[in-house]
Amino acid sequence: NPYAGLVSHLRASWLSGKTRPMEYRVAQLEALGRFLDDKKQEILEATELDMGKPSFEAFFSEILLCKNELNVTLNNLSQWMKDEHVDKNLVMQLDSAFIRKDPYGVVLIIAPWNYPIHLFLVPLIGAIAAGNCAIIKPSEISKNTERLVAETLSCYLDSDCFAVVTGGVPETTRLLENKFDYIFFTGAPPVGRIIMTAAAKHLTPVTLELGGKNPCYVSDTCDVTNVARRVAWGRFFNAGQTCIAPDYLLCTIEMQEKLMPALREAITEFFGPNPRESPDFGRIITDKQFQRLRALLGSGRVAIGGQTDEAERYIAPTVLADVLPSDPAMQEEIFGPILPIVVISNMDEAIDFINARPRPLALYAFSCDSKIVNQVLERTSSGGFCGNDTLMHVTLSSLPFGGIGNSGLGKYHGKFTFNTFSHHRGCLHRNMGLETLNTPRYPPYTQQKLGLITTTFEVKRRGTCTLL
Amino acid sequence: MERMQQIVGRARAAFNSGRSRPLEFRMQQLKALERMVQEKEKEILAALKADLNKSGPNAYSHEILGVLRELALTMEKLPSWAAPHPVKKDLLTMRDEVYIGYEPLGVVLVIGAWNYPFVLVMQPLIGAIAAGNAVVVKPSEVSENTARLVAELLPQYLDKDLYAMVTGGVPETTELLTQRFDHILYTGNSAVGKIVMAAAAKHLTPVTLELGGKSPCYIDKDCDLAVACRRITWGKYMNCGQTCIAPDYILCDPSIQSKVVENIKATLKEFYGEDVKSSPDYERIVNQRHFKRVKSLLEGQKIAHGGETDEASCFIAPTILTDVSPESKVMEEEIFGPVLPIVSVKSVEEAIEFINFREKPLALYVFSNNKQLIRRVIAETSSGGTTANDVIMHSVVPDLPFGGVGHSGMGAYHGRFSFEIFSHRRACLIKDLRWEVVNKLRYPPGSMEMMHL
Repeated sequence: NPYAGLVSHLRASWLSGKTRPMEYRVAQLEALGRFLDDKKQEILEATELDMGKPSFEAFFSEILLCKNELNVTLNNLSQWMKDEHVDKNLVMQLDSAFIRKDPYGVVLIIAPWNYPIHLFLVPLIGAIAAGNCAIIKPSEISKNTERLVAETLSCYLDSDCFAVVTGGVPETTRLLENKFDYIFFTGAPPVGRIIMTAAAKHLTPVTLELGGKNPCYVSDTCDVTNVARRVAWGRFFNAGQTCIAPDYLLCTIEMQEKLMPALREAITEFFGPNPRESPDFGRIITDKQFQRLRALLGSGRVAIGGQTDEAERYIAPTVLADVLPSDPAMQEEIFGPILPIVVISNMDEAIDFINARPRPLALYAFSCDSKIVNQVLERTSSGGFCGNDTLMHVTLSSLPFGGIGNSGLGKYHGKFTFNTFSHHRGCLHRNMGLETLNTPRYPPYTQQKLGLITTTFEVKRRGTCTLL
Repeated sequence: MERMQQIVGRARAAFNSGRSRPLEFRMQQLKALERMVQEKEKEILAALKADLNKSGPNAYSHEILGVLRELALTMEKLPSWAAPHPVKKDLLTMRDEVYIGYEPLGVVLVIGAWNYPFVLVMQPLIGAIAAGNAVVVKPSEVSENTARLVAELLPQYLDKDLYAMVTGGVPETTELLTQRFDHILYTGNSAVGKIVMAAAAKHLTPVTLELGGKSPCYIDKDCDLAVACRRITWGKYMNCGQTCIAPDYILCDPSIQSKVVENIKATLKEFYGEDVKSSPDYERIVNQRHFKRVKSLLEGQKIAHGGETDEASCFIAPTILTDVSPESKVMEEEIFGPVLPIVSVKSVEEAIEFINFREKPLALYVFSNNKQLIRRVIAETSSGGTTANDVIMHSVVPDLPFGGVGHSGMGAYHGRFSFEIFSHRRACLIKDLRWEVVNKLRYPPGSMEMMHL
């Protein structure tokens, strides 16, 4: 077991108690902030090398959003760490009942390649805030970022308590043989199953941030220009390699016709007449992914874009019209700059279409009529929902971010990350006196004692009369 | 077995019909459950007596009262629990609707245990119904009378398709676990907990595992021993020691060991009289297998009190073991019986080290007049839950989450926490299609100047 030494070293640090004091956690979090500030340029460069990530996007997702999470956490940490006192009944008035937020111990964070800093750093913020030690396993696919993290993160964080492990599938498999106290995984559903199965061997709780096909319903009553912009933005951000990107559009044939010129215009507005030359449009991460995506272009008909360049791993912002449910583009999460439009006749059909498929991580509905937006919301199920926009619901740290069913289990962001990485321990601190109050519960049992217990422990419905 | 597929399929179709979602429907089902418990009280108590030799008042206060209380609390609070929770907005979302919606998960599986066979299926069931789910209930086959009764009663009071009963043992449960559920709540032991989680992993089903372990009980030299020992005796020997949060073993300084034994002995007489076997308030071990298991833990031990057994009636007397070696068998597994080992430790540091060396327990107990010491023991250990200066009682505070950590489990329930684990918290952001000007900041072409805005 090649990682046993590392894990036990971290566990020893954990048992020493050094990660518990708030000052320690704050110091580590502030160090993470300095990492983001000092290494900003390197991060922008590494992600550009990895997937042609435009600097604007990289700054927004890898730096800005991370710093927001850091600040929310630092601003609220003392509040979050406090014991939460709860209501007590009659017999316990002199006692103290509260929920403690205990760290779990040594946690494992496994991150994917598409937002390679953000997707390990934001969970790590919560793990540190909650008082844990952590092993970070960045994705080997975004290899420039992996190297940056492996080489520089340890300069900022306490190496007794935080470590970076690099490698691919074999290394991750060996790593998972060890016992962790929590595992946080972001990636694809099939791998999520493997992680959870490995976690089961040690009864390790998990959060799995997975994915799926995020539907985007566009009703007939809507401002076509704004819809097109918001959808195009969400779809083509990071060249489509976003777990919450609108994966496919559902609309009527009339709307498809109206949307097409609007989408074309939005794309031109964003990326110019030749997106290949725009510094604001990314590239596909690997040759394998590029080939997978290129094969999807045969679905429906290419209405916008469709150009590719293998050497650059460039796929133009593409819209496919008249796509059938049986087409290749509708069989898997696209994770690329291709937007299929599936034509349906009405909202009910769209809702049935969505509900016949695995529950997605995100769901989008566009309409000027708020009743329609609410109908789609109420009659479907998804990790999160955004009406009349894309992606934005995850930028608010007061909203929980996570999936349901195939798209994942657990949630994070803001306080939810802190809660994810803490064990909520119910504590009751009783008084040693007043022993007579306990008499009714002791044997020998009598009906009279039972009557007393019932009276003191019962919760009465409001409106029912009581003798007390 | 196709039967499992059909049962779960029917529950899923019933859930998909949408009828379990309206609050009125859920309240109606909860009210029906309340009626069931009130109308069938006699039958429920009889089943508990047959399964565990639980006396009437004991069974009522440990199982029925808890269920009625949970029902009353849930029906009272459900509207506020189920309402969308608005959250803090930022500058960009000021004009938008931002909230967390509570939605049902779908079809929930509740697997019960045999030691508190009624409350351990009912309490999760209440939460699952309240959250708007369909539920499949699999009570423990070991407590067969209660299982049979619940299987008969539930369909008489609740919607038959939405809330289904499955009875049986290991083969039936294994078959059941191949089906896809949207949450599984399992109460039982860690070994089976691993099997449940591995089965759930195939479908990416979230789980709540209420497991067990050895719940330590540290008695400080500075404490009212008479009171401490009375409370410990109550929690240890109730249900014949077959309680997941019973104090499993005692840690104390060797100088107070004999006083502890004396006090417990005195309390036992007070509770059960001279002849424990004839006390109507003392239960029995659930079956022969567990009887043999617990009896074997006595081998080679110094029995300070008790030790009598009677295989025919699965009777094991309340027993105290002294000077127990940490390496002995009785200190390896959760005892789940009326045997109380006392292990000597010379200091609170040693106690803390002893506890931390072992798997995280479901409950942890510490008795002391010294508040600082109590705070220290709690702060330097981890456990599912904790009670200081008493035992068991943290599990009856309705607003405390009840669950384990590490080997003792994951997730928590009771009251509001039940509602939450059986719900999906869906993040909702509803924007306006106008006000596009605000969005322009984020669209390409981007520039570094824009970023500094």
